[in-house]
Amino acid sequence: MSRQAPPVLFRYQSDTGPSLTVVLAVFVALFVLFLWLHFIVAQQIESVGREIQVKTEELHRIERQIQDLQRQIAIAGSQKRLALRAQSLGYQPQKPVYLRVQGPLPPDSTSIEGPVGRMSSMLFGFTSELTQTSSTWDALTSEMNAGSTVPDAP
Amino acid sequence: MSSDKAPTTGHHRLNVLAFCLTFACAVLVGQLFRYQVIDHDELRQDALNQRTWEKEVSTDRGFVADANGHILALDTIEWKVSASPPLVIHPDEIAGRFAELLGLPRDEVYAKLTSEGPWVQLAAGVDYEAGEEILALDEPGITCLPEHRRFYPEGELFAHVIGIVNNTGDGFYGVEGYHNQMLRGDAGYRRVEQNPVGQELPFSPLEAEAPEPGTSLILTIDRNIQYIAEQELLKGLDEYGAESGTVLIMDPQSGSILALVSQPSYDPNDFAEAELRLLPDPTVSKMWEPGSIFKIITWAAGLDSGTISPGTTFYDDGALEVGGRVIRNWDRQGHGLVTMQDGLVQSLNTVAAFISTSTGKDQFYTYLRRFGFGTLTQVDLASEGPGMMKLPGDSNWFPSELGTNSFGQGVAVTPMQMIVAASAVANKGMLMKPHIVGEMITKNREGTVRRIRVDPMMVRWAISQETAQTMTQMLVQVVEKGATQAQIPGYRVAGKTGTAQIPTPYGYHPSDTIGSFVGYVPADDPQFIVLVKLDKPTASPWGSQTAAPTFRAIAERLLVYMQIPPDEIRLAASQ
Repeated sequence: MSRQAPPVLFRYQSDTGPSLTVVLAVFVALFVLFLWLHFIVAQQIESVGREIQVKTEELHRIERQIQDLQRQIAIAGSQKRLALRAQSLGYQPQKPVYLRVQGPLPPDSTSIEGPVGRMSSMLFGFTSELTQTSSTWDALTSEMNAGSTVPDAP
Repeated sequence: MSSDKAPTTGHHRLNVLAFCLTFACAVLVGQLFRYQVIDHDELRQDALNQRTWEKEVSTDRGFVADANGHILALDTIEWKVSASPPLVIHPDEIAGRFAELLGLPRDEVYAKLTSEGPWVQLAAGVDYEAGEEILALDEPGITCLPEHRRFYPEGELFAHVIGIVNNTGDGFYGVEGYHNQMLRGDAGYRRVEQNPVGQELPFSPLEAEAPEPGTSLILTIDRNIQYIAEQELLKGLDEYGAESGTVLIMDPQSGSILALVSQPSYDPNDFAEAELRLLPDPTVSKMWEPGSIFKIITWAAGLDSGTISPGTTFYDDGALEVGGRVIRNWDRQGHGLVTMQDGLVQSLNTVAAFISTSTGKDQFYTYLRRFGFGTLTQVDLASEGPGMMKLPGDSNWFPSELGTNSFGQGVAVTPMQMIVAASAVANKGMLMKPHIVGEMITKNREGTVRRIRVDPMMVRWAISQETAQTMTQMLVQVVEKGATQAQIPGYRVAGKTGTAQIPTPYGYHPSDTIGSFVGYVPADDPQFIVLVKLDKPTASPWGSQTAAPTFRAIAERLLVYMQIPPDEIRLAASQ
């Protein structure tokens, strides 16, 4: 009487790793993932690059606009134009009357900040560390420009 | 036998084939080696060159402003509009709009847009607004490139001071010419990748160098003083019928030029239309025989060398022979016994010749050199000339010139040289280097801004302080007793008139003269010195009747503008 072999409940399969199909699927999935990541990064680079390009063009446009505004300011403030305008408003050159006064002299006008630095920073976007000297006349005109009380036009 | 040979032949063929294949492989490997290793750098560079483009990044030329910051020259944008007709899609639709923006006839624009060539220029010098609109239209086949153009808002007023800039961005004459390298800066570059159509790819540049912006200049010139000088010069030219003229105003104590005007002038915005002779600045490049204003130098040399004093007497019989040439006075008269002071007030040529001959040729010419004649003043304006002064020992110098040079004949000077020399007398004998740039504003590639102030520079002592003071007193007498038309009520003016004959190839012109006046106010503490020169006035040949009143008109306005009180009040305040 021969003993029968027990029924095979489980078949043991040797550990040969995932099948080729699985490997290929994973590889393709990884490849697609890599491509997708590459695409996303490339797209972002492209998008940022375009944005930089647009901003640079905008910057250049603004720079051109600034230059044109500087030109317009220079034309509007040109000597002959101002002289004609002053004449049309009735301004006349006046001869000052000097009076002898008692008491101390006013402070040296060279300590007053002049319009050069201010104008430079206004028009050309930089500030000066150098103390600017100017005449009393400059100081007076800069005060006038700043909107302080000035005598009315004749 | 035959069965033995067959394998040998086959083996041989295989060998040949193997050799050929090996050789071919070797060639391929060799080529690959050459491409990948030997010529690697060169080929890589070639490939890079094909797909990259080096773009010059231009920079703005620095601006020029006056002492109060008013802009005198700046860069503006203009557009160059061109088209590639094969790429233009609807020429019939856009021609009208472009014609309107460019200010051209529609038919002309349409003809250009449909022309055969690959590229055609539609217009150049298109203004800012029109260019921006064209750019916004973004029409295929249309290119709109910005171009820098120099703009001078003050026009003729500063033409000779500033100079011009040509189409290639190079400056000529004036400040633009002298400071060209500084003003124009250094262009940078960007090496970028481009697609086959030539459009820049949106990646950061492969290489880049930022441009270094041009240095900006703040001049010592005051726009208001310049305007006063121009107005009064034009009045003078009109009133006295002069052909041309020059006014130079300087601060004698620092050498700063406050105004510099010459007429006729030109519009630097449209210099291509101007006559070529008008472009150089006459104050530095045009010389003239100064005539009697040169006597300031002769008298100063005589006093400083100890040869004369104001009270030294000389008997003037109306003629004096020097080196075989008879020198006569302007009125052809003898004035008897005169002092040196009288000789200067009456502007006597005989006295001038007496001083120069008494001083001696070596010493006399040494003084002329000390005052800067015959050399450049080195003012920062382009195309300066040294004038003309012959010296003893030169082949063309004759002994008679010691006499004629003493009253400003036979010696040619520029207005700049003359005012600098006269300033030395006003400035207690100290000769200052004239300068027109008061401050420079530089900005490097990193964007750091620096302001550099130009300090006054002393050249040398031309004469002693004592001599200068004595000369000033004598020149005050000249205005009070001689050149009365230069007097300004309330102020002591020191000055000297000049009436110079104009040399021609056949001697001096019989009637044409150049009238001049150089003077400074207040005499004891000069705040400004003015040189007026009127060429060929017809109303009067004399400088005392043409240039002197023009000086007074300018000086009177300057005293108001510069807030200089009358001497009496000023001296009382300073006590």
